[in-house]
Amino acid sequence: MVLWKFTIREVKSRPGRAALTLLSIVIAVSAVVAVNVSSSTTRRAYEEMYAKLAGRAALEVIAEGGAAYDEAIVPKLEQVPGVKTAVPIFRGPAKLFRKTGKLLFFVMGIDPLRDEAVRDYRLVEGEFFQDDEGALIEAGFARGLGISVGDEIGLLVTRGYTKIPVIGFLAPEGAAQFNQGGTAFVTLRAAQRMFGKPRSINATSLVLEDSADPAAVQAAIARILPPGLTVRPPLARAQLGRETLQSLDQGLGFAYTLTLVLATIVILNTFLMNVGERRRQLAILRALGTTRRQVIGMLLREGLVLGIVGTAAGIVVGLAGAYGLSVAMARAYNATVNALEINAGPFLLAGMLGPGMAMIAMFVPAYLAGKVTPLEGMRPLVTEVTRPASAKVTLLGIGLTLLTGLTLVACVFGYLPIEFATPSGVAYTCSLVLIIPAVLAPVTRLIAKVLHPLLGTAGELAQRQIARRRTRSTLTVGVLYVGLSAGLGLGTAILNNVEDVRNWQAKTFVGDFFVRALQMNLATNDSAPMPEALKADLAAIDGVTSVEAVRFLQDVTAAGMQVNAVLRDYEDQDPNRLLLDLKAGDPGQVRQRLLAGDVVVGTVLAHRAGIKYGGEITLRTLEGPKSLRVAGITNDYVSGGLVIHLERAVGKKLLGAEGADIFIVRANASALHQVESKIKALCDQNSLLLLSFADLRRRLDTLMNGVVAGLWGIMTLGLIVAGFAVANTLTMNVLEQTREIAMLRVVAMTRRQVRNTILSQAVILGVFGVTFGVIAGVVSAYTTNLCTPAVTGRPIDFVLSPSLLVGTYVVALVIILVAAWLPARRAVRLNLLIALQYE
Amino acid sequence: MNVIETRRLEKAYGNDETRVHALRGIDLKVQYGEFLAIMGPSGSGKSTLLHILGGVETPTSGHVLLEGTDLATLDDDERTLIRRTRIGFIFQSFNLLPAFTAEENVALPLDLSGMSAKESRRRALDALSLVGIAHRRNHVPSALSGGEQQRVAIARALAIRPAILLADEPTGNLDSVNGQQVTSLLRRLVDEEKQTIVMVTHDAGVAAQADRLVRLRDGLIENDVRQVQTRPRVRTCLFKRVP
Repeated sequence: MVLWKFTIREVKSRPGRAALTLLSIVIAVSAVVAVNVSSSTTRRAYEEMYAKLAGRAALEVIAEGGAAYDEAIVPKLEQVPGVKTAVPIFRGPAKLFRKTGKLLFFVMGIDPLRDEAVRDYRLVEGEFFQDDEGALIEAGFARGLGISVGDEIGLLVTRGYTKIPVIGFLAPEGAAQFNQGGTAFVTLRAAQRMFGKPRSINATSLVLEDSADPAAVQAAIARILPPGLTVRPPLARAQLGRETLQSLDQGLGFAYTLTLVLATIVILNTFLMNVGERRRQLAILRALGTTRRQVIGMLLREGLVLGIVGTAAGIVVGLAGAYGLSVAMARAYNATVNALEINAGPFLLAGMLGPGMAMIAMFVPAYLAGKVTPLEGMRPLVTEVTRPASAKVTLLGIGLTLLTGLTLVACVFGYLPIEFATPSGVAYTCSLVLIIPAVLAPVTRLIAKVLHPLLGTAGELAQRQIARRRTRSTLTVGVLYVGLSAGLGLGTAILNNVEDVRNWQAKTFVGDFFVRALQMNLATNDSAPMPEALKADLAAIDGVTSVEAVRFLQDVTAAGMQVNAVLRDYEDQDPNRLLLDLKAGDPGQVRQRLLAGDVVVGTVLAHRAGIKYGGEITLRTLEGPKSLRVAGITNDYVSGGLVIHLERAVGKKLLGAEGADIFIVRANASALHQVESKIKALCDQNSLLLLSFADLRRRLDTLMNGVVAGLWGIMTLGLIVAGFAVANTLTMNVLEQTREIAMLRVVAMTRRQVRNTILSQAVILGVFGVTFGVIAGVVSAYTTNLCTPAVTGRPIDFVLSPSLLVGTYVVALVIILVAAWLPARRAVRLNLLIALQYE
Repeated sequence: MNVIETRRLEKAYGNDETRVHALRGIDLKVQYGEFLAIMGPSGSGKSTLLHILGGVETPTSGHVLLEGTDLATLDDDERTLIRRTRIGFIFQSFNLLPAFTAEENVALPLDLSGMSAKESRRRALDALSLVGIAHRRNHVPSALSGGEQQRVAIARALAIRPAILLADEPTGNLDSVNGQQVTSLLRRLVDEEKQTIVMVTHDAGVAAQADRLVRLRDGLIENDVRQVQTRPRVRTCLFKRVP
């Protein structure tokens, strides 16, 4: 108990130090919790969206590209052993017209007698279907738009405009929640009529017998399906979204791993100082009868308590951060976040990491404190310069650096699985810290010499003090180095990615105007398609030189994977400029081959499926599997690069795709203004959206700028934490030099010179740590870039941003100087008489 | 009977060219109830001898028998436990824990031994009363004068009822009045409580209060004389005992 009392009193007497330790733990733990919880929440929200639609269906039958197919297959499906019920639906996008504007809507045509076997509906007002007329809408959504039961709603579908009465409201449960309530449920016959697809459906949901084996049933159904139809679990649709989330997870996972490493180093530095300051008191305890084990145990318990308190606070902050991240990610993917997906996983992880980190960080100081004899502890501090840097630690550092470096090289060149790259990279970063003690003295001497014109004698004195406190100086340099290396490495990777996205967009979506229905639903990749006839109307406008139609199809199976297909009128593009960000293939030849029926494959799809330029890919079409030649490989950010490009006419034949999602209009430069006003009139007439190239670019820039702003925010936070570590180090240095400073002041030194000595320590430590960190950051960025194709399948150009390098260097040094200000002030204000008696 | 005894005690620091022989073979016996003062010039080995007697340092060779137990053969934990229960230390710079009150500082070794809080507080109070400072028991060291702090340190050493009190320059940081008070206290402990005390000092006036004076020079005992007390011992109670 008395040792607990000692610990508590000591922590209370240094609230700032305890706060810094807790802050480091809170930041690290909150990062872990925020990333894990938000990822699982967003993933869950994304999957739930489809799960609500899928209901109790274990399998679904769809056509390639989501095309419609004959409903006559339904009774045959019900005959398959294991199938309890086969429920047909016809689902299609539409636009809902209201006085206040237009909304992306969905129409779901259901068989009222059979659909309840799959999905739940609860009527809260009105009546269910009595005949083929009328629509049911989710109650909250309807009331939000001022729709009452009995009102007529106007819907624009591919076939044209239609009005339909609202006969009832559904509770916000189950399928009614799809598209956040923006779905009109009509009878199957009504939907077939609206979309002009008599006796056609575009999905059959299959409910299985309880005892049925889904895999066996799936295989049995696949055998009886005609060409062009496929059977799969309903949630496979969410696969594409999961791919995108996965790459985001990887990036964030790397970031929070390094946050943990940084926090551990900061905590180690802080604990070493704590224990160092209490050296004398620990010696008194030892003299009075406290054993070594008791001292070590007391310090470890202190670490544990701080770890637990920091973890608890970190979890709270992390949950708040998770909510913010989830909302941002859900907005991007058009999902709804009702509540955080909280399971035990992130908390168990945080519960181990927080206290674990603190205990690991406290272990070394505790062990060292236990080794100090009572007499040593009561003597003035022996400076480390009398003992050389530990050869064992240096050799360990060199050995680990070589080992982890070789592992990284092996990963880059494919000799080892790429999954080893991230842990190797983190270990490589940390192993270099072990080498710092051996080079600290010579490097800081060199820096002091180089900066002598600026620092003068103060620099020499500062260098000696830094060298005398080897461990503390090492940890401070280590914090700067790890923080900057990680920040620059990640930052450069992100900036290169952002630039790649910008370049891709500039190469692929080139036009003066873009006409589309309302904003694409990013979650479902659905948008209301536009009729083909509109192309001719746009082309007829004076000043228009070409109109290119683009159609996006999901639910396409290529090389055994679910991908998206992009169908474009390549014949309407400038023959000298192919609008693809090709990575393999000559543009002129690729264009010819696309027109001839070949395909271009996205880099990620090519990587995953092992497809080479000039090879072949199997595409599931309405006529069955077809082997198509790969005319080129392209960089693509649609669906995370899992995409296949076809000439639109070819796609229409193979996949039954009709209509267009976007019309890209190109006009004479001299007639842009007139063309724009005419297109606008056409769009208003047809309730379409008009975007200029500048608009499109602006939207992308806003998104990318948000990412870059977030990056700067994270880097600044990391630098501030490093700044605290520097402030801590200098404060301790001042305390230990109290007598020495007093003596120097009495003998010769002015206050200004004292201040300059402390600031010089900051400059030397800063130049060492920041330079080391910047160099390591560049290496880290390059290595990350080399690993990217193996991880994502997407090669990205490596570009080093001089402004990022210089900016980071300058900002880091400024923060360090600011951090040094208070310790310098303290040194300047020492009472000389008291200081001379200081022990 | 001897409470502590050394046989051919040697202590050397460093190796080869830089080797320093602090003690070169000390044979010393201290009896129960004896007040021994050790003096000598700087570097004579007096503090080293005291630290070895207290089990804080180990000898290079020789034996240190505390109540029959050879400290030189014990490991660190065993010596620590003996310090906790049988040896009381008084330092020149007091060495109180700044965040603890006087009472808590005195109770510290008792708490470390696992004694109940109630019992340790009672004994702490007794010890503080013995040294005449119980009325300041709730003050932290920074609120006490030098003399008061040293008395708290003495109370801490007494609280464990040690076999021997080891005092390293106990008056070194005190003015003459406080120094005299502390010396008188030590004398009284020997006379009234039959406490055995070994004290290192450079002050002849303080050393004169001891029963026996041992002079060291260059690591050897130069002189070991029993002192005849020619001045009247100060028996007047200089400080109040708080009941």
